[in-house]
Amino acid sequence: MVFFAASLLLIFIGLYAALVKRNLIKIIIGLSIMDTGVNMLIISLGFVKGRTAPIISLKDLFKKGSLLVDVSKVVDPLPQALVLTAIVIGVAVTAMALSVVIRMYSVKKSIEIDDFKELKW
Amino acid sequence: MVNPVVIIAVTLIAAFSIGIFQFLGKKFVRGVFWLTILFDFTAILSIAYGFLTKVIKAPIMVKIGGFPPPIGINLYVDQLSAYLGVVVFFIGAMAAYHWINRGIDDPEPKALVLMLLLLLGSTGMIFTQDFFNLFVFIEITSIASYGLVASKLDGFSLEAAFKYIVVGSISSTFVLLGAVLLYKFAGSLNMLDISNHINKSMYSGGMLIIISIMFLFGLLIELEVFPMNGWALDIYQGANPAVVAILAGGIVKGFYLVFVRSANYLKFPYLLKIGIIFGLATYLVSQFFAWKQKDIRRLFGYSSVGQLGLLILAGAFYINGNLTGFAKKYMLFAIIFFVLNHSFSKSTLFFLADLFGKRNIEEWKGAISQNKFFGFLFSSSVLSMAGAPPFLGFWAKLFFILAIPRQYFYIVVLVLIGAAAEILYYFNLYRIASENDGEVLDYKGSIIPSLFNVLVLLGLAVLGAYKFFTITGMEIQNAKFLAFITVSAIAVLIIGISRIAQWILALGMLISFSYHLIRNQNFVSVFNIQSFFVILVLVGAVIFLFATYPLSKKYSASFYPLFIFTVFSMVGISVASNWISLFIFWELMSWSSYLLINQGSKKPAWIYLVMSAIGGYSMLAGIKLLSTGSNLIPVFKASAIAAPVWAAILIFTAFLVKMGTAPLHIWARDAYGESPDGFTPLLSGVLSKMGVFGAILTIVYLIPHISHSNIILYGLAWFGALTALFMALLAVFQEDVKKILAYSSISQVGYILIGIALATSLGYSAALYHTVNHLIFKGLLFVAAAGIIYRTGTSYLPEMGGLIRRMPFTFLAFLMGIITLAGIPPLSGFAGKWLLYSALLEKRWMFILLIAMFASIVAFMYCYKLLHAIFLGQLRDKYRDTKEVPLPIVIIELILAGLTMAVGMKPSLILRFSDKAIKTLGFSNPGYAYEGAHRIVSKFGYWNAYFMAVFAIGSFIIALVLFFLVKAKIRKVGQLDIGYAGEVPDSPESVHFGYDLYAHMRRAVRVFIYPHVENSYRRIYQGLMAFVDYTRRFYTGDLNTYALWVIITLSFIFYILYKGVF
Repeated sequence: MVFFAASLLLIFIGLYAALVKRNLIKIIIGLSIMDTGVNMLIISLGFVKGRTAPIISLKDLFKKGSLLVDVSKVVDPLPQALVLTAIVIGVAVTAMALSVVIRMYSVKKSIEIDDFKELKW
Repeated sequence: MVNPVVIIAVTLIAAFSIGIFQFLGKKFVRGVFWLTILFDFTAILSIAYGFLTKVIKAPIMVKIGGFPPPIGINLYVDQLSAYLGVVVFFIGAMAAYHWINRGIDDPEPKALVLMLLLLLGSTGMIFTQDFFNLFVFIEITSIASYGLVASKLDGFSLEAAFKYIVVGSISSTFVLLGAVLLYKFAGSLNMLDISNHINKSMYSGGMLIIISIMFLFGLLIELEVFPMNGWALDIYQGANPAVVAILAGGIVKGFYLVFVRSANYLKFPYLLKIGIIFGLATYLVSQFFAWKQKDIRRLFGYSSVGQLGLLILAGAFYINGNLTGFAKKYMLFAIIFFVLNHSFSKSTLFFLADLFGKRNIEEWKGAISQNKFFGFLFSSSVLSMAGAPPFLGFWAKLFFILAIPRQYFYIVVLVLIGAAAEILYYFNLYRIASENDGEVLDYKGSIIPSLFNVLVLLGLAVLGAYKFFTITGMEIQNAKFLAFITVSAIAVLIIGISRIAQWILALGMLISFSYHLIRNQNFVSVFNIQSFFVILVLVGAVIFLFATYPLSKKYSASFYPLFIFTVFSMVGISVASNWISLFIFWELMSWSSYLLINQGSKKPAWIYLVMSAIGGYSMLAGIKLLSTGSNLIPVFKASAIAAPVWAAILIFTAFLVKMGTAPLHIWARDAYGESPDGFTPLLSGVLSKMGVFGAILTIVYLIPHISHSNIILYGLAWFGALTALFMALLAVFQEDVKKILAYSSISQVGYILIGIALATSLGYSAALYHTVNHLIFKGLLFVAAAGIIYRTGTSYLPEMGGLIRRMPFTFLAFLMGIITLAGIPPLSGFAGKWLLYSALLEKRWMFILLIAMFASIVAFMYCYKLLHAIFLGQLRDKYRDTKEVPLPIVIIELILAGLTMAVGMKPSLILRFSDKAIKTLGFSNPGYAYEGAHRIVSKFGYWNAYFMAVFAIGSFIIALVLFFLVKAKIRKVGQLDIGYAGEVPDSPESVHFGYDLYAHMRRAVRVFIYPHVENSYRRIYQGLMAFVDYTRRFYTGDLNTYALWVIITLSFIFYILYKGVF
């Protein structure tokens, strides 16, 4: 529940930045925070208190002589797999956004929203 | 068949190899790119072909990674996704070709990599059956689009790209949240699995609603739904048109399919409400905001957004609208046709906008009139986009309207209003582009992609018509006749090098068609109201087509094809067996006649089109009201229909527009006055009579079945009477020969309307008689006017005068036309008046009778003015060598003059036919009787036409003889051999008083001839424009505001959900 609330908070902070901040970089930071919030939420969905990571390690092999994991002892592995993908995608989007901002700066020498309101109506 | 996953894999590998091996040079990069596109396209085409030929019977399921579906990711390719894939790759290939051809600003390899990723992403998005996988593909598509939008690297495109990134990230956040919460809720990510797990009752719990809305809301943002679509419009305006073409033409359709499919899998119960609210809002708002738009790309953007709104609406009805069997099928085809139509025509428009290069629509002057082939491509796409028959957009709209359930009639009305608004701004653009006086501007670059697109569009038009006729199960004759019209018009178009050949072919077609019709026993033996109008159309068309020969040199190659189109569509209207086929041919007639008028003058044609669109769509709405659940195609069968009042009124509006009845007449003066001279006789003599035909149909088959029918008929008679009077008054003060005749035409059709509104057999006799009579004399006058304008080069009356000596035959014919128009015996005009007045007396509508009589007195005034200003008075110096009008026109004039004389002597020449027609309308007699051979008797007296004619001609001969007897004593005075106010005039102009002949009367009737109606229309239009101009500032261009609207919309959805509005 704490994770849930925290991640929602992060999402709202990110949204707030996208809604209010006039600086392009700050907006991108906001988007990243929002992304982090979502990722945290995904992880928290699969989290079960007191269980371990769903990782197969060589140590297990030597200890138990088997690669099979006891399902009752690990958290849900799927959200973790999903979150890896989501993180990668988030990074890609951030990179793309930042590179666009660099280009925008080179065109107008500004990273304020007020200088980018030519397309309208 | 290729495994669908191969398409994705190959594209991915190709994209990476281009990225890595780009140092191998341009040839390598382009080679890999085109090979990949070719491979993908062929692969997906083979799958689609498999579905089409039913080789592949079930949707294809592809396991990935060896795990069976609920656990592993799988692809799911069904018919729709395969077809959509073909469209996406086709448009993608065209866009890429266009882009490379125009020169990519960015380093080319990177752009091509992004293009491949975009296509890959959208294919995966369409194919996948896993919610998280869907998110991944959406992100691939989005990131590729961000890059492509920014690729132009100027201020506009970067700004658009950044806005897209921010709004797109918010959107994908919602999609991702929705997907993972769905996993938490249902324990699966597989769409089919989830669909099996949930049912509608779970939505009462609340959790599933929030999850579904999150997911679908994310997709709604990508679907450019109002009010969160500012970013999309900015992309349309700012990004490279090639990129926009693929985004609007292909990718967005992928999002659309995903949206509709997900909603279906989620069994989302509120889809219909959301679809109606947001779909309609998006559609209407963008169609109106586009009115004021000057940037052509943003204009097309508004149109795209609007079409998406319509698609969302259609999809919501398809999934969630409880449509019954065939309505569901109609809706499916409406959606498919909308998608195809929009993809191909909008991408073409973006290509063409890029080729021409100008952004401001005011700078498009001459774009299509100067470049014929460019113009053909542009016109085809615009016509298809605006839903002109027989293009695909028309069938889509028709399917859509027919499929909407009756209880949602307001949606029909709103959608049709939006469609009319769309026509208004598209053809405002078209008007500017077809302007003739623009300097010669050329387009730059290759038109091959546009050409391919338009070829597909034309093929799709055939497919659309075929599907429409087969699915609705309408009589096959309609389809055959439509095909016949199109083929005829194309045949005439093909020999466009020679006008004479076109003229001969068109004439031959009309004559042989008429010949075959008359030889047809069925047609002759069953002579009814439809046959009456078929003959009217064909006879009028042959006569007027014959007269166009001398004028044809001026006209473009499309004049005769459109002429044929118009004529045959009028035949189609006349033989239509149900309201829908009448509507189809009605629209064909409106659009083809619009294009003809547009060859004369642009703005009047535009007004004509807008009024016709309002009329046509109101007819469609009325037809929709007539159709009941099981009976979508209402026929003309009195007993079958319980007609609501509104149905009759809406349908009638279309006919009143064509008849030019006040206050719907504003198009008529200029459309008649400035259309090509060869077409105006047909417009006045025949085309306006289609309104008469429709009015008769409505009154006979609909009006008797509604309440208050008497009041409606009486009201109609008043409309007719006031039109007759006021249009005659307006005609008196015109100074242009064709505009006088224009007002006169509307005024005369007003008389016909009175006759119809009487709904008695005598009234119909009067109406039908006058219909033919008006064709004869108004055709004569317009043909003569065409000849005179051809010789003198002007239609301005004060410029003419004294032409009697130069054009004696024309004078004679014109005089007879005028006498007929004035309704003076012995010519044919009097019989019409006599019948109408008798009918009015019979029904005791005395006020209307008085007005009609007064109007015909007013008619004398403009008749005299016409005759005087053209033929009498002083001949100008510049016309001393003017010749008689060309021979074909003289022939037609004399034939028509002979006809009016013959009919004047023997009215039964027309009445014989109208009697038969009236009998089929359910009357036992025509309302009058014959006594002997020539005497016609009504309740109020008799009239012997033959005697009158002999008497009048005898008097004329006696007067003529007397004149010749005294002629020797007459001293001839030279034209300028006179004293005038103590001075000797030195030029004819100084004694010409044709200008403003009735100036002294103007003051007395000023209040009646003041253009109140036109001004009110203008004020409404300007008011709307101002309103639109103010409200469209809603799209502030500010990124924060755009993001804010996303949140507000989401809150709005949750709010109405919480309040239980749903």
